[in-house]
Amino acid sequence: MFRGLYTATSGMMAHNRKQQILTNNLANANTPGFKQDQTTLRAFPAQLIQAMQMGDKGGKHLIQNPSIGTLHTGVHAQEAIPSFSPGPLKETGNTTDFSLLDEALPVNPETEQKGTLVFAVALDDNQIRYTKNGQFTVNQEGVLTTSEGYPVLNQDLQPIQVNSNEFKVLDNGQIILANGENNGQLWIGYTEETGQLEKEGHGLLRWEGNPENRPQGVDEIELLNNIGTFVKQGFIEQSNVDVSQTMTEMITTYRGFESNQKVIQAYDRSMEKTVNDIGRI
Amino acid sequence: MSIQMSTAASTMRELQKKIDVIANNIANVNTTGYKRQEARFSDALVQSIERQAQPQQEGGRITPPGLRIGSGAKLAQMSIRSEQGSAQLTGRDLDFMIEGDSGYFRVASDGTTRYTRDGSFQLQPVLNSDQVRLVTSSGDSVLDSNNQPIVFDRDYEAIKVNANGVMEVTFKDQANQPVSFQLSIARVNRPNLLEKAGGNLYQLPGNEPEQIAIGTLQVVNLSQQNDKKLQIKQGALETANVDMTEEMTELISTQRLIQSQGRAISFADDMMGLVNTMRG
Repeated sequence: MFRGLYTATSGMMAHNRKQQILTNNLANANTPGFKQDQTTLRAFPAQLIQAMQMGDKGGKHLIQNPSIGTLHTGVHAQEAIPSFSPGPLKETGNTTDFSLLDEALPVNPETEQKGTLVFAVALDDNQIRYTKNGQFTVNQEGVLTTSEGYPVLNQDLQPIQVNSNEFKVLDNGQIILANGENNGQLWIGYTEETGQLEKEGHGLLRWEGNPENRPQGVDEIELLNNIGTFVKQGFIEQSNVDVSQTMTEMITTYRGFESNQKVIQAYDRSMEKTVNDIGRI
Repeated sequence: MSIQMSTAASTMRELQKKIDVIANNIANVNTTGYKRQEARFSDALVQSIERQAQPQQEGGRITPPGLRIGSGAKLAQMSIRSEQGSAQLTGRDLDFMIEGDSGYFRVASDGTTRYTRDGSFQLQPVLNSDQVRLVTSSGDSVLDSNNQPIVFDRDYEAIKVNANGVMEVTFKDQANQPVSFQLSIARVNRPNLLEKAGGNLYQLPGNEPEQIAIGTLQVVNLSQQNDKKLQIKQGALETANVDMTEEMTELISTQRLIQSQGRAISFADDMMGLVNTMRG
């Protein structure tokens, strides 16, 4: 009879999850290269509701079509999809700050999708991770690393020895040292399957999709042959979190949570009636 | 504690550190040779909540299975911004300024070599002698290219320093021959490794020869450098490279962000309140 009690409970839980994700977006409104997560809520699988046969067999009350319809009995927060829309660029003048220029990318005519650019960094065990946060630094050994100390990789997926802060990076990623020497190229990857880049914290993204489809260097992609501008030195890409939008969504989510609580209270009152008033003599 | 409360609370704590950095920059807006610091952020840990029991019912998913929830932002690094501050002409003979971002005066302090951009030097009498010594405003000896303090007779007439850092001292007594010193300058290639040692001094981890060996810095003789990137200017001081407008803007936006973390906490609180009042 009270099928909806747990439906409302699942509504509260899903809104709570959504609020958690929104809180994290809000917390990272200041983090360079952060991509906000968008929550999708999904209904539980539908059930078919059927009327039970009533009345005597062959009688006039036989129901022609016993099927009433489908009913979803709840909702859950299915996924948090990072939105890879470019964040605003901010000029810092720092030689170790880089921003990837996603704006300049063309839409792939075959898939009608716009991809995203990523830097590659190496973990301590030489595993490769990707990052959108181009706020780098030069470590004690003169190697270009992220703020967290992971080495940034060049076109051969090797760490980059820059020695000092005084180096130049051209728009295509070419690195020119202080003494005019050419020191390879920053590895800049491109992928259209942005959903497969899984956030790992510390600004890192892990590729979870098919290994064959992992981000490829921009030079190997035909679509990008005519674009020479991928990276800008002295700029950082800010977080793409919009604080006012996030706040608004937090309010709506809060109210959604509240409404579901009210529904539970309504059920509670119905149950109170059932238990206490029905059958009273 | 609920996830969103700890997320917002820890982010608030990290943002407070950014305010501290900004406050320190603003406090040092008039400190000679001060280099501003910058707080850099990254997102904190992400926890994965695997709650999809039936992957076959997850049609149309864009992301890999599971639900990942981040736990806020954290301070990743405090970096020193070493760009040149503007020059302030003082006309004082013992005020020096280094032109070029990477140069630092070498100073003997607490038994080690430290570095400073603050060139407002003084002369300090050497005990039990007629000599004076070139020191920083906190009394640490400035080093010459032989790693020695710069010491000369007290009755000097003029001190002249050229762009190459050669310091010539002439004396009132004609019989006393002029002496010259070469100021020692360190070129710091990796300014992010500099640690503030207080008193406008910086230090590097470990000792100086080690750092020279791995290329963090070079001790340069300005007369012998080819590119002339570093020069000394007498009678001028380098002001702090703090831009008040920028710091204030950052301060306001950070403060607002802290405020919004507070809102997030009260949302979480209200939601827990709703749970508690579910039954009348």
